[in-house]
Amino acid sequence: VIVLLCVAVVALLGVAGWLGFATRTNEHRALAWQARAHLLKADRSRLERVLVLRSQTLNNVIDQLNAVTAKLKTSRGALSQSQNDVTNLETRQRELANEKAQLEDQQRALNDVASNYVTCSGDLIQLLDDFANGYDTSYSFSVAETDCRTAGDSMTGYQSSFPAG
Amino acid sequence: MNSDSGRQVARRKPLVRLKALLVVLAAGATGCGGIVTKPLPAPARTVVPELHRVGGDVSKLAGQPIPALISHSFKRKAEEMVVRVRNVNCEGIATGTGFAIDKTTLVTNRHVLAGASELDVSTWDGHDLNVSTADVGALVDLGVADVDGNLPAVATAYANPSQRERITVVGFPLGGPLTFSTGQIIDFVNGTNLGIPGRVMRMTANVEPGSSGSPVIDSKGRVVGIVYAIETATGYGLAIPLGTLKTLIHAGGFVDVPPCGSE
Repeated sequence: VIVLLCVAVVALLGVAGWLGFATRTNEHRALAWQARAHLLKADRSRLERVLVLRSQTLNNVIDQLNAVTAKLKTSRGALSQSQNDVTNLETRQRELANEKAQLEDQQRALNDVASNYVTCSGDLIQLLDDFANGYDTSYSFSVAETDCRTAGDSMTGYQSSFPAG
Repeated sequence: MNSDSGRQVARRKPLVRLKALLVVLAAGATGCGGIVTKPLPAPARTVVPELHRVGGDVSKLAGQPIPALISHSFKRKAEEMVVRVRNVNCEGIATGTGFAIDKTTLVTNRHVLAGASELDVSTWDGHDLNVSTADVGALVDLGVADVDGNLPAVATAYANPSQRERITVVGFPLGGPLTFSTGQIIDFVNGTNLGIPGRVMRMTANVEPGSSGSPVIDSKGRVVGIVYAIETATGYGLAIPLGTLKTLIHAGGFVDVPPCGSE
């Protein structure tokens, strides 16, 4: 019995030693995991703070981008309107330039007609003076006839060139 | 009885001691008090803000080019380099067309400038320019005039157009508004019977009185000829090719504008 008891005691001592060793090892591992968990927790907190900051920054940028886009859209609309305005103004400018040129042409032609009629009128006055003074009117009549025909022709030419005016 | 019971107690004592030893050993072996049992604190919840939506127009607008306010097209350049020429002479007024070859010099036909007592030049947008000097070609229906002030745009020349090439005549036919008349070069013929000592370009583009001096422009916006007449037999427009023009200018040079009634 004593021998058996001694064997049992030795066996128990062995098991107890092994259990003690295993417990110590587990404790060390648990402490290491705990330290690691603390580190990871700190990392996670830091990363979450960074994520929050980055998200806020990104939201600011997105808000600015959306605002700029809205402005751009408005500006494009205004630019498009301006383009139409410029096109319309240029078209109108061309029309006005043409009208101006036509009027100047007409004015030049009318000046010629007026000048011819002034000459004709002067000739007629001269003819009347010659007639009133009892002079020979054949020359002044001839001059007046020629110049007044020229004036008439120029008026006809003017009217055909500028039927509306 | 008492001695038996005393013997039994004596026998039990080592067993009790052994049990106590085992308990102590087991307690020590299990490391009571050495096991980590303290729980980690629960992590604080961090609220990450939700991201805003990027507007749907961003990518659409970002890809679109901003259009230019002022067109720099072929048409714009053409209308800027062309001018309306009014010739006031002893017979009344006549109109023609010219185009800028540099900032102050324009080219047109001799018959557009001939006999002028006064020459008026106006640009597409109605600006008037004074003509300071004018000369005409001695051998060819060509005239040049210098103006005070700047012409809006200058023509680019090209001397070797080919047959069937698409062309545009830009001018003021009948003294009216600026027009663009498109057509095609038909051929190049001997100009002796058409009043030009050299080759003449025939084309399908519509030409009217007042188109004289208009530039003939190719599809690349280059001036390849100058309109000077209409072929009465066919109705085709006639133009002096730039190649002929250069030769004739060097051969004959320029003379003063002939007085009214001399041509």
